[in-house]
Amino acid sequence: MEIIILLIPLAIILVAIAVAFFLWALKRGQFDDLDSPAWRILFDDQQQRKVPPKDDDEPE
Amino acid sequence: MLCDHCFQPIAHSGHVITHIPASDKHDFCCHGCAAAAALITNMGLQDYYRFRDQRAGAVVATLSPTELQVFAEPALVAPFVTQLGHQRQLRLTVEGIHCAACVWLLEQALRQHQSVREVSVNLATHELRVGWSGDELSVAAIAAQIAALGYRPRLLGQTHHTERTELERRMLARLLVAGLGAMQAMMYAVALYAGALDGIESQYRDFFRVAGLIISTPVVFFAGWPFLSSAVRALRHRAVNMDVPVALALLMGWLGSVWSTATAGEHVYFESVSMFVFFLLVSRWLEMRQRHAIARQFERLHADLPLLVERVNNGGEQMIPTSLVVADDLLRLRAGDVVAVDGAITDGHALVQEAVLNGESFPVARETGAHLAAGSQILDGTLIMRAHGNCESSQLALTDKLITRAQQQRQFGVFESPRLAAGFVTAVLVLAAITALVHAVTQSPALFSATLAVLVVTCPCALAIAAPLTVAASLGRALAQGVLVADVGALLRLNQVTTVVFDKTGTLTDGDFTVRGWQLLDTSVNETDALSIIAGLEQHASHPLAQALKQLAPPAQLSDVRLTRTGISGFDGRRLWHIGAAAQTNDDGCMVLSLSADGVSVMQLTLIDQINPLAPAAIEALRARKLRLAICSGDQHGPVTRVATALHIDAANAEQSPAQKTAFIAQQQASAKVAMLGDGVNDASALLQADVGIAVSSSSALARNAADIYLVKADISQLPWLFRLAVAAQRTLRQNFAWALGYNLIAVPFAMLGVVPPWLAALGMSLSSLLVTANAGRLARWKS
Repeated sequence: MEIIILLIPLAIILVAIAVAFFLWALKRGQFDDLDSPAWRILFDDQQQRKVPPKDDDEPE
Repeated sequence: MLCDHCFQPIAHSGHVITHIPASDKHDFCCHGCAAAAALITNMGLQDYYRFRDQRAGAVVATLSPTELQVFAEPALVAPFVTQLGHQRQLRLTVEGIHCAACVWLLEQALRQHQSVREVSVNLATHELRVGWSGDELSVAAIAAQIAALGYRPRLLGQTHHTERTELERRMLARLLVAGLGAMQAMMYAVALYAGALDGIESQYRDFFRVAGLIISTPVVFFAGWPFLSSAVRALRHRAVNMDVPVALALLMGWLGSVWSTATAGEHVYFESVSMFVFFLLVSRWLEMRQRHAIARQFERLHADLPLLVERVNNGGEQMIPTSLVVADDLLRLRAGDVVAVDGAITDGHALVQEAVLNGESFPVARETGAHLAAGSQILDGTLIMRAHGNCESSQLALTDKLITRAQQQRQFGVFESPRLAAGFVTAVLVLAAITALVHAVTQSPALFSATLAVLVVTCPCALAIAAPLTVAASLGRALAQGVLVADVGALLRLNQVTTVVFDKTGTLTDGDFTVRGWQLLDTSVNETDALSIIAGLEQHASHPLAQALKQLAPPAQLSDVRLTRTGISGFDGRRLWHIGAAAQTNDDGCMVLSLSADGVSVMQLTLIDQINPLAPAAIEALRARKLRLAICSGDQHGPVTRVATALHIDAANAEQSPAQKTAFIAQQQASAKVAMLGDGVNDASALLQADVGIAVSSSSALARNAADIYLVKADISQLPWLFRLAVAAQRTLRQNFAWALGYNLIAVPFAMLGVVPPWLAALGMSLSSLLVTANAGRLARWKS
């Protein structure tokens, strides 16, 4: 049972690391928008078509 | 027929047919929609039409060149652009987003530019964030792209946004630390509970206690900091607030447990204090989210004064930010522009819409020398005006300041009555002291745990969150229905309202004109031809009267169409036609226009301000609630009487100045609580005077500021719904209070006797909070 003398402090350290990561993500603004990820998953993946900003020869 | 892009009905004169290759959409209501559809198809984003919510249609916004130029002005744009390493990030508010498909469209369209690194649009807040690198793309280009798709980019509210984001992030950090800490502390506590039952070696017991200590210290002091600092602040002012017992319980619990750990005492309560903090924070977090959502909504609606004006001093012309205008500057205004500062016309004449200031539904012709007030809109014509002062000194700005100050004095927390809180808290502290005393005198071992239990059990947190949560739930429910409630006390006051006063224009009526009929005076002229001539004359006019007249018939081709002092004239090859106000006006409250050929009147048309089709049913519903109804309008007797008779409203007052409206409401308040519905600047002080002020959609910013409640949709039938919501909110509030108070009262005797261990007290308190939350949640899903 003595192993918990090692494991509990280890667990506390892990929790501290987890909190540190969370605070880092928070500062980078990853939690500012909690609403849109919910419906964003419904979008299909689009082919990323990189076109230059001007599209000049389309007949209209 | 419906427009293929925005699903609005296509007006007869506005039908645009455009064939877009690779698309089956070709009928549009205007060039804006056609252009947007063409762009969407060309970019390969037709999936937009597949994704979008079929019910929601929105008219495509078109930005004038002036409005687009705002985004090219570095001084105006700078607060919204941040530099993150190589990337520049822009934050904009975008109007016209109404479903997830719009978000998809905007993100996909912007991502197609090579220099764009990331785009994200928030559907809830309508904020767009785009990060790009390099110099190929400019803010103006991004804004132009958004506008080309049919949405309206705006620069709004930077300072409040940063403050709010900071607060939200800090709260979230505290919440996580508290939540994680509470779970961890509970984990170690379970080991101690097991040990209490089955026996545990003292070194392991101490070990788990120390673990609990380490975990709960940041919870109590970092996550619990708002409670501790608030209590200290109150005590320093020799007052008590609801946080004092909380802080006392936290500190007592923590310090006592530390002492117990150090001296190998009986009990520790680390998990109790951690869970205590966690549950309290959850309710605060929910409340804050709700408050911020509403504040953001309000910000989106505020201030429609232009950001840029054209200054023409000394012959040169220059677009400058409105804030730089000074007295004696000469400014040029064109059709569609909103006047930014008070001043007088020095050159030219125009048709001016002043409904937002005085409720007059008819546009007014203003000549050289006439006064122009900030907030009015130029409908037709171009003119030069001399500014009387800067934008802060206009009548509109001054009234706005008065109203904002009055509004800030209203409390959001209606239930923070200081005397009530102080009384309650004092009672709690007295009870705890009595408990401690009795246990000390009787030498009972449960002294510490009983006192702690009393403090925790009497913690009015169920009571404290009952009100904010119910309030937040009712506000959220109202928001979902398109009703913004700024002052929650107002929603509850609706239950006591017995009289409702209405403004007329824009509230009971559409504010638009429709043709009621016409009379041909000269039979030698063909009726259809005459209508065509009228449509042709009004073809390119932009004021509200023109909208009604454009639809009369296919427009005739006219040359030399020009704005005159009294109307519009045009030449059809044979005769000079003119349409303008008739010499005598019908006193029935309708506007009479006269069409004349070569100076001789050939036809008279009557136009009326149409009553909102939803108004009769809404008025009936309100009458069924036994409410007294009255109209108080700035418009003339004729139109007001007409509307009052049509809606069967007995009390109708016309030609009321803002002061008279306020006086009328004050008079009614002698015997009743009054709610007022209005939308113009001239309603602002009346809205403040009323017990509940309600502004309707398309109100001036001033009316919105002055009002407690704001109906976003032009749907007056929301008013009866709002009354029913107020009843439901009041009922839920009473239930929650009854439960929270009841629990406290029942549990206190047991806690004083020492039969309630602190962890049970914390659990009981948490459960009662949960019950109150669940009940408030029922309100959030309330259906009429």
